[in-house]
Amino acid sequence: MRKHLIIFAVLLLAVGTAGPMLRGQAYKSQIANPIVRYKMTARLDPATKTVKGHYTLTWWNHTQESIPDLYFHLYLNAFKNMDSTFMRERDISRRRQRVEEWTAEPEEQKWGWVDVNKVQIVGGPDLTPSKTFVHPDDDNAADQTVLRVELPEPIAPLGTIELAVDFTSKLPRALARTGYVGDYFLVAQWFPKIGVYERAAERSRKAGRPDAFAQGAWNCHQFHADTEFFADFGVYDVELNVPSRFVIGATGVLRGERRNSDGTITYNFFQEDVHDFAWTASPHFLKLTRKFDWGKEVRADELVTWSKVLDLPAQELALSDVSVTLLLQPDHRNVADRYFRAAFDAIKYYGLWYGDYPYDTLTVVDPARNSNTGGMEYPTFITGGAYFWPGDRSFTPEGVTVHEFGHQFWYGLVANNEFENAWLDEGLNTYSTGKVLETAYPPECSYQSFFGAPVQLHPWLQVRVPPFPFAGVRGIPMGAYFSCDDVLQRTERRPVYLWQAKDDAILRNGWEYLDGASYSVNSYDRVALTLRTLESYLGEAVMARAMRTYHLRWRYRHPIPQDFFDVINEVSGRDMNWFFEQFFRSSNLADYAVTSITVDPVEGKIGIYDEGGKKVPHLEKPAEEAFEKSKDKQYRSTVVVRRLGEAKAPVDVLLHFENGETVREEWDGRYRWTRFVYERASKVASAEVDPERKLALEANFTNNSRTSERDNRAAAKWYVRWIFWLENLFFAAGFFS
Amino acid sequence: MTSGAAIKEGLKSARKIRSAVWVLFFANLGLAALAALPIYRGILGFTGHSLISRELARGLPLDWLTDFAFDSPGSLDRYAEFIALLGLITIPVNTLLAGGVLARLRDPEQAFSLNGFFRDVARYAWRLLRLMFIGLIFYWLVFRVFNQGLGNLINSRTGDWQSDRTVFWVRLGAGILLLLFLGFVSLIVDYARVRIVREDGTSAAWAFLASLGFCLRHFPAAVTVYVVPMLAGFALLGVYWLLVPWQAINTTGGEGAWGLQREPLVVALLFIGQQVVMFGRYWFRVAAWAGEWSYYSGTRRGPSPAAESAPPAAKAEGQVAA
Repeated sequence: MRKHLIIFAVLLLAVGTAGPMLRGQAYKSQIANPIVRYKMTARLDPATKTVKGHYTLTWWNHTQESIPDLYFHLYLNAFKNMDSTFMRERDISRRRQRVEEWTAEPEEQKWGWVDVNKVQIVGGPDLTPSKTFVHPDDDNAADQTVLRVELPEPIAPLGTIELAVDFTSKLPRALARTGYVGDYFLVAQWFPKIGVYERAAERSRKAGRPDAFAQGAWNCHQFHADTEFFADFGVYDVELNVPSRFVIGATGVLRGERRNSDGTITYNFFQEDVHDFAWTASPHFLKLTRKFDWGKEVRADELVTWSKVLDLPAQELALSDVSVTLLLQPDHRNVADRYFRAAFDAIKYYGLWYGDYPYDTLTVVDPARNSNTGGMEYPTFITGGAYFWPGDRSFTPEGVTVHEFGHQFWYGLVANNEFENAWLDEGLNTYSTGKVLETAYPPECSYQSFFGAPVQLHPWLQVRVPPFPFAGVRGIPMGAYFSCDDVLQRTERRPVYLWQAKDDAILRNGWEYLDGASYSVNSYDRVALTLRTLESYLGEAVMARAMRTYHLRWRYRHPIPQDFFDVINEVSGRDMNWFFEQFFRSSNLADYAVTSITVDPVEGKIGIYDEGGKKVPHLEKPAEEAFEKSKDKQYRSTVVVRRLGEAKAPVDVLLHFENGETVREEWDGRYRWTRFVYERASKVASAEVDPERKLALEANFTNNSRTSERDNRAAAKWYVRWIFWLENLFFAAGFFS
Repeated sequence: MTSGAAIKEGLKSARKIRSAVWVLFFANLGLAALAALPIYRGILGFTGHSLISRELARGLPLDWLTDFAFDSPGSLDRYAEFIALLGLITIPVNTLLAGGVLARLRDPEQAFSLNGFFRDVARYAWRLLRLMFIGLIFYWLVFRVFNQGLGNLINSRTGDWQSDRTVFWVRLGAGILLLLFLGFVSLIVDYARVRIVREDGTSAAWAFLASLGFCLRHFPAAVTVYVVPMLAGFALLGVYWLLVPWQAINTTGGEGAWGLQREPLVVALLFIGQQVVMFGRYWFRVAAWAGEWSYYSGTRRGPSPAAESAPPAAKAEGQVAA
């Protein structure tokens, strides 16, 4: 205890001296030579849902190669018509239905696009005539989401080019991530954005691409149905002009604003070391700003805990203050504190675990209803999602806020290619989100079904009752009719994962998964479960150190999966390649089971034995009687454990004997089965494989254990409860009699 | 007759004909026990030998539900269809039983016999079934208009509304409207049933129309007599929700021999408590019918024509009074 107090005092002293130095500092760029610098002006016309913009882009060729052309993402063209790759890909019928439900008045207003009106080298030739649409990922000639501009002369190695670009962005009625609803605008993926040029050495790190060794190339994928984004870090200096009644928020720091004579206001936002810029505008937003004061938010004992876990001095865990702005729907005034609490918890825990959040600001947007713009991340700018009547034990808006903020650390700072390795962002972040939620909040309450019964009704019989007021308002004892049980973050993704587990492996290009559901499972759910499993094998502390090392090492860079695997092996000091093969590169299911327990009396000799040169019979009945009379009975217990799945992993087996003794065995889990046999005075009462449930990916926890005696308590209790529910259901049906 | 007097009379009559309540109660309990059997067998078969059954005895762990659903794909959906089917079966079953219950109201003092009860069930069966079909058509129409029609209209008109609070209240309003109209159809069907049994010889269609007229003419009182006992029954469910010590029930049992011995007792007590509530709900349901009978009779001149013509079946057979 005394030792702890001394450590505590030292840490307080250390942090106390480090803290003031770090507080209140404006952001200082960490990138000496940013590849991109945008200086942009844009004007929103709310009536036509259009943004007219102009920028000058200074692009640095960071390679030793001469580059003859430039590639740009024109993401908004995904919403131009039904022939874009985004609209055509996968789940056609579902997407078609969604598009039919995607309505606007007049109808043509719902589509979105971006036109590049002019591209010119500053002080040089007009490149507009050379622009063509290209389709690096598929043969869809109708897709216009990637634009190539040919240069009159290649950009020299380590040279720069300065371009002047005029563009017009027609925002769609928001269908996915970006667009408008009424006078609410979420303006994202909205300007012609230059792709990423990868030099030969960078591309050669990508296994299985022979062409990659030869030379560099543009990594500029089309906009796909499920994939997200990839871009180089740089500087964004953006002036946004909107009618004065609009409240706005954007990536970066608001450096100034000026009122114009035409009734508009021009806002200037600036941010270094980011790779995208998004903004929002609505006349209805309530704008609230609070400061994340790390000195108040992080308790000394938390610093002690995490410095121990991470094996780092407390000074290295010091954080920065952050100005958090919440742009809230007026209906959601009552949820403001929950948004801020979630944002602050996320800043704190991500910061303590992975490294300080380096930017000065965070803007959290509470999206308009039905806008399809919630739950998205952009640098220093995220969108959440809330109900005006949130359940006390549901994680809305906490879950989405923590998750989207978490992207600042993965997508934002460790900017892997989301087209090719979505899981490196989404999966690591889903894992991290779960860790924050289980650390900062009590378990979420689950509602599996209505009235406890998985009743499916024909759509026209389904009464349109809004779910949220009934989803866990404290004080209303709904537990008898709604199954309300704690959801453990560790395994909450299993139900989703298992249904798609065999469709794909994690390591795949985002647009090459079987379908959208498989993309989702293999980018989010499976990865979170896999990382939980990895954590169980490495230990929480080692995992935490590995995650921090990976994050800090790859900040402001573009890692690939092997970089992550290398860090895990390095920090753990173990060769975990077997794990990566089993669980990242294959779609094998893990399923271990105790399939039988048999107990036989050890009765001594039965049969014919050679004794004293004679054949002596030992009969069954006397042997049985001797066993019954014996005070020193022995039993032979045999336990069979099987590997029912294809995935192989070492597992423990825990055996309980009737006299309370326990025995723990280890099994490498490689062959299809193993058997444990014991001759003891006590019988085996139960056996359990993987008793700590290290394998979060396990397909069936129920068969992981087996008891020698059948236990009907659960069945009886649920039978009785179920009868009562059904009686009430039938009673209700009786009103139609 | 006032609605208050009718309710009081209904409660008295329900006490007198409680044997009929038992029939209603046991018929539905039997159906529910049958419908719940797959749950018992499913849990026992899948989990009886697993240590996870101890967690399941205390709640509904998501891990177990995941295992069960994944291990037997489609079984929950199939079971849901089975429940829905049994739910549908309970509609005609309760329609038929209602005939037996209502016939008892002609002379509540009369001794109860199962033979007599089911003879009355058979006597009114076809007319009540026809009335049920008429009622179902109107329920369907109400659903089409207020759930689908109004629901779709609200969805299309509120698509661009940014305020979820406003949309919530609009939807809630539509939901309440739906419930009110469903309740109104149920009210008409209830009084039509009373009319069919009380005034033997009335056709189902005519009874429905006459009941509609009756309910409109005596709207406040007719609704009060229908609603008050129903709410009382619903309140029983509320009392159950508030009083059942789920925490204690879920933790009782525990490990070891003492837990194993105590568990069946806890389950038995839970079952008895639940059935007391259900009996109460059926009792109030019958009280509602009896109240409607009293109120309807009170507004008509003269005694029940059926009462005059009906044979004193039970007494004649010398059955033991309930």
